[in-house]
Amino acid sequence: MTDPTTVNESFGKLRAIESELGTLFVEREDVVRAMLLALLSREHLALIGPPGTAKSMLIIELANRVGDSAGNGLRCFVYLLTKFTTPEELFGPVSISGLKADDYRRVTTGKLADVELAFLDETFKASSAILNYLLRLMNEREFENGRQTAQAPLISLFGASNELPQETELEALFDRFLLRMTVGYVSESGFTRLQQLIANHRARQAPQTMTHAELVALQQTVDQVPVPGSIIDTIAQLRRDLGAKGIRVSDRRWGKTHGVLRAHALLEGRSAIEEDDLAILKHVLWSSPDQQAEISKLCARLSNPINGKATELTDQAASVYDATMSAHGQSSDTQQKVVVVAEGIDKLKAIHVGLVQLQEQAAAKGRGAGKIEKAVASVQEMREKVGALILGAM
Amino acid sequence: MATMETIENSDIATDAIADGTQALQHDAYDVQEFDRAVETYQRLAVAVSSAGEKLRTAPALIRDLFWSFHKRAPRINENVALKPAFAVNRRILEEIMSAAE
Repeated sequence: MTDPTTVNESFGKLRAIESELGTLFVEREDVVRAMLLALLSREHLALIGPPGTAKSMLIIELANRVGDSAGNGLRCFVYLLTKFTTPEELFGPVSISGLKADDYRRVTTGKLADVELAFLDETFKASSAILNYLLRLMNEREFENGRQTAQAPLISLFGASNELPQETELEALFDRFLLRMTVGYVSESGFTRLQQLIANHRARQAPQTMTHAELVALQQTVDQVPVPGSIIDTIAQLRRDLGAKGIRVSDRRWGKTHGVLRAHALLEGRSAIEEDDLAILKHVLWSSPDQQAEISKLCARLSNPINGKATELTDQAASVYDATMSAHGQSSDTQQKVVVVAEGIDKLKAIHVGLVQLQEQAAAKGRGAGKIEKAVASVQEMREKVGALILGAM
Repeated sequence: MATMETIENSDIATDAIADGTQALQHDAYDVQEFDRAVETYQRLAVAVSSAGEKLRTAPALIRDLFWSFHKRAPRINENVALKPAFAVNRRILEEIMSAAE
């Protein structure tokens, strides 16, 4: 049994690491959260998105923050796969001395089967020779090395790719990634922050760190977080709702969701899983990008109906914003532009009022309103941008 | 906009209709306004339902017509590829919206 005081201290360090990485990387809070969830639940995370979105840098920064008492970070293996990558590159060269003893084993030091954390860029370019090793390593944390089957220390493997796997043989690999996220470039407002961050680059303070032993203690605590019966009922409801929309999720993935939910509850400082934690399943249950919006909506509704409505209103505002910008761009005369902008402003104002009402409702029910505040700020930003068009139209 | 009580219980449209049936430029807010009007006004609901039984393209035309009167800046979407059966709706709207009165 782990000591509660030690766990509390470790938890504080983990939250500090999350906050530090969230500040260091613009608009990557969700990715940082997913990475920590992967570490705590010992699962794997796939990041789908274009190159140059700070994926590998994030993982290296995270690895440097979790290590042994001597200050050494988690052992980390980073590699860019191509369709010509051989097993030797990932798992080590064949041992010459082993061959002399008729044993086809590899020298795995520093390679994929010898590290706690791995990042494979362009993961879905893995050849079938690599898949043979990789699937077992990810699932059983075992590596067949010559005559022996070795236990691999791997905690989490992070994969990145520009696109989802196309070939059937890669589906098994994609299925091993319980957590899945799409990552894009930073937004317009985020880009300004990114530029400021780069411009004001100073020598950083020593990063917050935690030891590997502390991480293990937290993982053990995660395993003890209870799953209430009401949550099991809600998950069953979610499965029915997804089924009604034609979205099927394997029993294995449903079974593994508990680990992620437990880890999320711990990160939120809860002693048991609550309905609010279910929102994180939007990064677990999808298998194609077109399912993401629907799954996100259903998870939000079941986890916290008020947050769910706030998400829907934000989506509606985005639709109004895009339509207004498009119509404004297509209008040739000033009067038409003004009318288009006025219509957009009216609609965004009405949506803003709805969000403020939801905020009050959340406060009245004693629920956190952080997500609604973000939604209000986002719609306010849209209003200001549309409002600025009036000045341009005059 | 719906009241606080109704926001929690109502369906909120989050996307425009992009299935090649609507000729007018619109957004998710417009979709919701029409849905709410159908819920509120029984006669409109009956008109949409009975017209749909006679002509499959009629409900989409009614929705476009509603928007053409309801929106401040109604505009026919020249870029959208309408399904062939719904192309006639665009011509009807062009006629109605070009009328001086």
